[in-house]
Amino acid sequence: MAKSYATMISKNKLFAFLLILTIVISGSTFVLAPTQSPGSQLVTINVPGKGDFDLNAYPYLDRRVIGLVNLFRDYYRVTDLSNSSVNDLSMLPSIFTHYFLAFTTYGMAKIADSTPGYRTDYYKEIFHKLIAMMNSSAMKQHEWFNPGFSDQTYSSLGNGFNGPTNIMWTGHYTLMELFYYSLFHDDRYNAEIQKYLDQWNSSLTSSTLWDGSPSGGLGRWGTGLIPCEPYIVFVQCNSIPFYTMRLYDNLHSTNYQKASLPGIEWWQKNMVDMNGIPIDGYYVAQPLDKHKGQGGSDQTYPGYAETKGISAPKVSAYGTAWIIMLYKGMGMTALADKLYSSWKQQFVHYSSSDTAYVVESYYYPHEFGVYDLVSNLFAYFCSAEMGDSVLNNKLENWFYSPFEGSWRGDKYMFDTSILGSQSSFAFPVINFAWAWAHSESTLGDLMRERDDAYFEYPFIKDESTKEELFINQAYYDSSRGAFILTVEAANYTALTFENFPNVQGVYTSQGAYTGWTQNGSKMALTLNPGVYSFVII
Amino acid sequence: MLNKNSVRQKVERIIRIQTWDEALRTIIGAIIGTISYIALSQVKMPSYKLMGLFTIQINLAILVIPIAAAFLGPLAGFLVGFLGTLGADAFFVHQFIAFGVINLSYGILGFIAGIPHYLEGEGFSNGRILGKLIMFIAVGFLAMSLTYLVGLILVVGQNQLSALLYNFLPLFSVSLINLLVIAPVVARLVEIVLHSIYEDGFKK
Repeated sequence: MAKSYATMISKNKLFAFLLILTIVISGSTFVLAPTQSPGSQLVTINVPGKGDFDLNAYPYLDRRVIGLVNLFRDYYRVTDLSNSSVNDLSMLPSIFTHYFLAFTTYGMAKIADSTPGYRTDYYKEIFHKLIAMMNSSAMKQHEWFNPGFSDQTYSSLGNGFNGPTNIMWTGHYTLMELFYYSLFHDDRYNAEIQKYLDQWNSSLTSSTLWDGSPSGGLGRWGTGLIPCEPYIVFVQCNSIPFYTMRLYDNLHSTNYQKASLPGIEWWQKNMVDMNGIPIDGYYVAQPLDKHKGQGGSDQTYPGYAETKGISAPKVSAYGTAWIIMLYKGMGMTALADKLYSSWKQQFVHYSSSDTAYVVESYYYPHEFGVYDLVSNLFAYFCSAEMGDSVLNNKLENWFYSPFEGSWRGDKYMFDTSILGSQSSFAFPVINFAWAWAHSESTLGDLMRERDDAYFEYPFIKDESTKEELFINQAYYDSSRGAFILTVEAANYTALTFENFPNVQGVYTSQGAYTGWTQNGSKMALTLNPGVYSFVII
Repeated sequence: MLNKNSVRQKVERIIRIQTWDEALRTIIGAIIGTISYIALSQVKMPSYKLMGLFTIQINLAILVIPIAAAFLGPLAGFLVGFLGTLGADAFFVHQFIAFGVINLSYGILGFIAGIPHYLEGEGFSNGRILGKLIMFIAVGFLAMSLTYLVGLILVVGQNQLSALLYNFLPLFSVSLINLLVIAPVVARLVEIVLHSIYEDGFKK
């Protein structure tokens, strides 16, 4: 029988050649396919007197996401965090720069919140760097002075890069700081947070318009919204302070969010186009002559921002995706669902059974530039926030098809060199976007109330080394009084827990673990190289 | 003078519906192939990128199209390619994409690959017949690629650069190896299996 098969193969040399090639190619796909997420097999741990703990039931952070965090920990060349010293922003995308910093921070908040019991400098340092870069004079030069804005020009309105008519900076900056506070309970930025919240509240509740006429309950700009580039208001830019107000209210039992309600009602009545899509900008007043070119040729003031080249309100896939995920995060689910349905219908295209992509404007469906890249990223974020895994997978299949992730030490990264000259923009964006979309937590999760008692739960306060340390699960289950930990250490590592007096035992699926010591409210867990899952009681 | 009967007979011979038995075999084979394509389209095999550009991956679903074409002819090949991808879209995307133009491109692959009567002589045990299969698959693949690309740009309305980079390149690199290297091997192996089951080797 074997001889007869051998004859069949050897008789046809072309077949023999192709067969060998097939075996080599097939084998190579199994051997050379990048290892994606080793060590992700979660177990059930039995704890005497407490029963079984199925670790699959707790938040888990993908090893690749941690690998991307490791990439970004070293990516930012910021060593001294005083604002004046942050002059080198060359590693950031040269356009959308401050958006990149802001959304990287939001993504980092989602990632850090996926292992809420791991609160060391590992994550904190990245927040410090991002916030310092956002607040740097280099950023002000790049995003404000270089495009032709100046503090002096708008001084009569008290404006400036960080003034009351630049919500696209103050909104993001304050939310970056507030996420830091909400995650780590560190109040170093609280004075600034308070300053900007009061600034917004004053603008939104002003009884007179900027020109002195009555506001009709719609604040200084007559729309219930705050402008960015003077003098245009965007729904997406205002979703950031509105989210921030609600998060602040949840943390401090205040009621800033009340000031956002007229604006939310106003834009739904006045800034939605015939397809149910929020219009991308409304000029509340005429900008200076040199900024008029931002609108179309038929642009009127006040009036909707026009699509360049045609007389139609401007629409944006990325802006709308941004709006949807923020309103979903705020808990306005019905509004988010309604917008999401319209957005999918108008912007999402299916090019095969397992791929989908988004166009930035349905008036220009054939374009593919940086804005379209950005709209696909925001679509990717938005579908994740909306829990639409079907579309999210299709977008990922499409958008990430030219890029392959690989490990270099403890860093994970996607090679974007295929994009040539766009690679410098794409590398940080594409790498961080994947981490954003694959974190366990959502913007909605980040909104939850965290009172002082929350910060008295046990948490990991320090680690002896951050090198090749992967914390996949770090979660205190307050209902069962148990800390869930899944960790991979390549080196001998000691983890120091705070708020953890009277530890009764540390358990693995193999039984009790003895490598720990108690010191007052602190508990130290020592690990030899390996992958561990623990329940600590 | 064109003889209508002669043309009809030629067409029936090409698309393998000369007799009721043959037509039945073509249709049943196409149905089985279509179902197989839909089911296998959900099987995800490991992959990697060669030189950061070409995706290397075994695609079990796309193999079904040339195999159906090789054994059952162009009509079956067309139906498996067209209906298989259409069915996968209907089941897993819940919509028809680009008015079926993308699906049509897969149908064209199956049709062209199935034109020759490969099994009338020695079948794929003969290197020249196997070479012929590869050649017709290659022509079908070329026609499929062009239809796919034109469909994306003109019917879906996708930007040329994004269609090339995000859709065509991954499809091209995956299909190239599967269609020109693996499909002929599978065809020969299927022939060996059928030969061991049916004494006449499933010919005619």
